[in-house]
Amino acid sequence: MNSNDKKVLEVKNLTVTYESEGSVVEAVNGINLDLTARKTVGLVGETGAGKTTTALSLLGLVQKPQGHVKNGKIIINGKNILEMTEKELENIRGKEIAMIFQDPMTALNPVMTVGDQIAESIVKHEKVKYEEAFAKASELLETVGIDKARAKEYPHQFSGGMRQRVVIAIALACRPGILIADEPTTALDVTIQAQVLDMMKKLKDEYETSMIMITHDLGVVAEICDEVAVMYAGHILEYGVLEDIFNRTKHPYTEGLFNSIPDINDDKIRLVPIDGGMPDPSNLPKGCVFHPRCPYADEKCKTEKPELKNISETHQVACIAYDRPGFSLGRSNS
Amino acid sequence: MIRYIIRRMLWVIPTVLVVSFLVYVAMDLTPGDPANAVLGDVATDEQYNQVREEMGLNDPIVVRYFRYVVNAVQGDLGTTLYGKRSVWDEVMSRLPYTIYLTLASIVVAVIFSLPLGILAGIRQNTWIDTLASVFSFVGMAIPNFWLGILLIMAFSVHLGWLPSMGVHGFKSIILPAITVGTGLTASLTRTVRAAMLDVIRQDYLRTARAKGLSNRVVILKHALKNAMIPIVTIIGTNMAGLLAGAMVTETVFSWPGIGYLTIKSVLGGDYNLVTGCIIITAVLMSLILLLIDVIYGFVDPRIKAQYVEGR
Repeated sequence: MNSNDKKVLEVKNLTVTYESEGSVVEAVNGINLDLTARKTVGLVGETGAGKTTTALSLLGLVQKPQGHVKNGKIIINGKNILEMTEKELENIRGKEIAMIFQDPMTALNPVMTVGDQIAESIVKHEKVKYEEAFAKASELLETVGIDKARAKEYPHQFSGGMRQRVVIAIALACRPGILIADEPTTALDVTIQAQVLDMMKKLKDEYETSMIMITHDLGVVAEICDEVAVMYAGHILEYGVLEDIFNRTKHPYTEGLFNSIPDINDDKIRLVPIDGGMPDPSNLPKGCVFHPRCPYADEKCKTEKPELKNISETHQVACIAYDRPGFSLGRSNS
Repeated sequence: MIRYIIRRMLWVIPTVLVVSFLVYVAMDLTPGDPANAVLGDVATDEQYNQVREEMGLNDPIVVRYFRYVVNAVQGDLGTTLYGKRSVWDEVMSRLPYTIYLTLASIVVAVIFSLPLGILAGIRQNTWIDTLASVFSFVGMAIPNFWLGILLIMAFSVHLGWLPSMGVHGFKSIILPAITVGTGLTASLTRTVRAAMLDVIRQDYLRTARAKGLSNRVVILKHALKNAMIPIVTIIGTNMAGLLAGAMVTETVFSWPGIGYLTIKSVLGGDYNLVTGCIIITAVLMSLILLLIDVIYGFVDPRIKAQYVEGR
């Protein structure tokens, strides 16, 4: 292993629950995730799969008193953040690990200028004077494609795409080693999505940042990710490099995601949505969490919980159907 | 912004005209004859008619009102019925005391309600939240005259620490300010709590935390400023109400403010003084409400932008 393959983030057996009035929601169930320096890992899944909760736990921002990180380790640059004090956490947030939030319309404080909101992070982590931080913030705005003179303006004076650029500038303010992007383009117009995505890609390379890209858009994944984790009901069902997931799809759920995308070259193919909906997270099915919606499920799937197993050097899948002789997915046959 | 303020100032004029007309007519309709009040019961009809003519009471009400307005614009609100002092001077001599009491009560309210409301909001459903709720309910339920008398009994009669009436230095303001401030603290605590609860769930607080800011900065800088609009509203409307005179409290403590003066003039049937008190109060209220709107603009840039657009 050379120094370029250094792991900047390791998540081991992470379990997060939300508890209220007797009901326990298992948002994240023992997931493992590794992030190598300068790589981008995609975290893919439907709404409610536990992607955002995973992201928030990486920053130690799971909201108490309802939210609890039950188990596991989150190791950032060699330190387990679950053992850190609040003070230590404050020092790494925004500095070593930063987050880009989903909805730019609500992620910015409406009564502070955008320049102030960026400068705040710089003042906190780089111990510089406010004027210097504000000047840096203005430069950053320029970097994300906004005229630096607009640093004194308020969020309501910007469009959605512009605001998302500001949110990105806040996250990048102190050049964090790890960037978590939580559906950064979901709330934007399609034309703006591509612009913002291109910019993020460029800045990520320039700043040598590692990234976790949370999305439900497989197009975004193909565009930007090196590795992909497919998440469902708080579990990772399939994990691999981009080619593994796209070309050597192994999990029935991943197949279902691909079948739900329209094919631009063939308008005769009918879309095949995945039957049913996400299970109730406070009452997850026994056995494989996906079995009620899985076209390949048999009796065994209802009782036996699949482990994430290596099927190649880079590719892992959690599906016991592969214990059956000769099993393969419909997609891999075509 | 300045154009907006000027435009709002101009709106004060019709407001005050309407208020003054209503008050003038209402005073005319109240039983009792000013001429009689001046002369007493022993006057002859001749004297009576002469006084009515001197006071202009024989003219139709519209003429009298018009004359009143023309004089009022020149700063002449007439004279008091008893002693023939200028109404304007009389009210203005009381105004500082009312402002003093108003500001003192608001200071009391802000000092207690801001920390209590913030804590109740960020620690929802804990003992401090319960404490704040209980205090708010009790504080709002207690009538001022009762609280005032209770405080006088405790601190003036039994302990002898503080004066019970009049103005004798700083000590005198303490009991009236607490009396008025308690109800204000109670309602303000609830407002602050509700505003904090609303703001604390917003995404931008999570953004602030993700930057590595401490909880204190997140609450006091990011959350509080966003919670200011409802807080300013409650402080402002209460301030306007208090400037109209905390009549009950001023009476209980014989506090020489506008409220006490209004009560006395109503009881004495001093129609010029009542009208003057209410008109000056109306002007003050309009100005305070304008001030609140201007403060909104400083608290929230989105509102300021509307002012500028809406020229």
